[in-house]
Amino acid sequence: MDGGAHPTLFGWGSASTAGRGSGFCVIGVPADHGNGVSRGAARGPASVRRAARLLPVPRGAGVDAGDVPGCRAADPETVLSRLAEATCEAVDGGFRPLIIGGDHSITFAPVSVLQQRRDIGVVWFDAHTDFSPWVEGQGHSHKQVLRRIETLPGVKRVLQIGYRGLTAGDERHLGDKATVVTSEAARYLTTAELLELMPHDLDWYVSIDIDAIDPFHAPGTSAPVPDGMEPSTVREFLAAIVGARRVVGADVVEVNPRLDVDDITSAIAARLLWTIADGL
Amino acid sequence: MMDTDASFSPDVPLVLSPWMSVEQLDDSAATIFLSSDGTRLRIPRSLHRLLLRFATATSPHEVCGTSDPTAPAMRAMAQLAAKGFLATPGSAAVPPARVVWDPPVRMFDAPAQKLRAAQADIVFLGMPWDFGSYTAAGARRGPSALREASLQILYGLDRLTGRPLGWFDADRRCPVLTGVSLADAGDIVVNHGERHAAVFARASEVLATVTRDGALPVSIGGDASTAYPVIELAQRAGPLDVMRIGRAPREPRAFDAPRLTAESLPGHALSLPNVERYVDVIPAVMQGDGIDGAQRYVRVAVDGAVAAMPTSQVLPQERRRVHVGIDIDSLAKASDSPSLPSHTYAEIHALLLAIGRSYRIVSVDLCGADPGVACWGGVAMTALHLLLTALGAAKDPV
Repeated sequence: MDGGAHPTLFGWGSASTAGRGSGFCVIGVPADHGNGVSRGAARGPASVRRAARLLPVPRGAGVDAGDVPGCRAADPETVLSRLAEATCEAVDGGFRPLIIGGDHSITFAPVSVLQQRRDIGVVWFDAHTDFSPWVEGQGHSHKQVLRRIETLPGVKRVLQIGYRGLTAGDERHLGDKATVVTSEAARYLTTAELLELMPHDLDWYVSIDIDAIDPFHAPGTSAPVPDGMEPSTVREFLAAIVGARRVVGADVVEVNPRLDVDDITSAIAARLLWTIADGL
Repeated sequence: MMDTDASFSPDVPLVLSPWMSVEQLDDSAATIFLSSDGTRLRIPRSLHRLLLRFATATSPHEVCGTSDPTAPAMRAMAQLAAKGFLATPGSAAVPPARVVWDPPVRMFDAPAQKLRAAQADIVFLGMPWDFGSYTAAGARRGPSALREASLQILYGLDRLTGRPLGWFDADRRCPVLTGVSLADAGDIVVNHGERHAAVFARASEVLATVTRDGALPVSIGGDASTAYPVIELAQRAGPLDVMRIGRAPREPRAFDAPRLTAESLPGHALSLPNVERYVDVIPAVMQGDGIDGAQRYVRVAVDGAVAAMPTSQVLPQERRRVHVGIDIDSLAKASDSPSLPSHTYAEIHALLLAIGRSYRIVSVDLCGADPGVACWGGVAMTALHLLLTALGAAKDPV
């Protein structure tokens, strides 16, 4: 793995994914070829790790395995393949992957690995549904990644939270597996109601596109949509999820330091990861 | 100024326009371009050869070898004359001034609007001018930067019916602008060193031309002073209220300034014969003047403006006509000082919808968009959402 020059997330020990242990295993994915709108999310892992230095060590245990190697020169499919390998190693070692993107296309890799081992549900915090049409053979991108994930046989439920703004069509209905909670509806959603949407018998993977947060709180992202969620609301939801469901992995993606202001978006992303790690 | 066609008769000599150039040429076809108005045509190479014979004044009869107006070559020459590629000798010595630039991309990727009456329901005109405000330096780049950002939410037509698809507002759970057609007329030309009077007169002329058949004009600034041409156009058709959402300071003395600036815009607008009332909608924390129906100019806090909006029961076409302006610089941004009075997206969104329910929106301007600001991505997408919300408030059924 790469990334030895960066500080580790939360000051956790640096480790190879091939080792054994428990808790989270941080995997950075400095790749942004799956984002056709704007490059820059490849700088996310380093920036989020730096921002996390200001936070206390969370209660949950973890190690930082560095970054997936060779992302700079890789196409999206190669990045997915390498991330899937890293995820497998982490899971085989007893860890839960805690991934720092990178663009949102990368989430396909850990979810595809985890759903092969046990049925899972996926919570998808995002301003967009990422449900653009996709057919076999078409290039993979952050615009259709959730549509591909929903087709995976071990993914039994999808909970999308944060959809909002003006879109080409009505995207509130994404198929039988999915429930969409718009950003507007999320304002009035209690944590109890949130958990009712997440069956207890499933393991859950949590994916956070930072554009779920209002862009005037978190401007460092490539496809912002106005009137997003408050960071505190997302943290509250995350704390409820990790406290009441088995979270087998998580990621935060689409932090673009090139577009950020004083690293505030990276700081918010780091705090969200901290909330997950602290609540486990 | 907008008419370019030479009078055409088979026996009256014509000459090649000096503003014609060739962009591409191969054995089968040529792409010819008229730099005076941006017209571009792809024609067969044989027609291109005939066209070049007008390098000196020559009659179409002589070139085509016939006087039959129905002959294919003669019909083609008539069309080239109508497009402006052929002119009466001497008439093209002074080029028609270029009044708009074609942008590299168009707002929401809507079709380009030529300098003629638009058949679209809504037409955009960019106003890359920022000399009207001390604080708006950089806003001249707003129109092109907003166009680029708008490519994330594309305009499109139904393949089968040709009907505009519009968008879906996930927050309100309803379609927006379905069946409403858009077009982009480009950016008004601003020549180096020009005064605002010349630029704005050009904008007025372009706006009048493209909206002649009833299209709703939308001005994209630029600083706030760029709203003047579209307000001036809108008031020509009858009594008009102006409602602009921004951060207008209490500077009534500036209204009388002879120079048109962002600060003097209310005074200049109120001096127009049909502008009856001018309302500056300011952030909630700023001190408004209260609602006074007798005053022609008032500053109203945004929450008060929504509360005071009349719940009109009259038909939309019988409601008071209003121009709506949005100064996007007044939005709260992550980079702003917390002490800076600012609007929120939700406040403006709600106000625009309330205006649409109470008034007949006849023109819109969006200004203050400076791509040099921090958080530009969020600012741009917020501006575009508010723009579409305003246009939906104008055009969608209540």
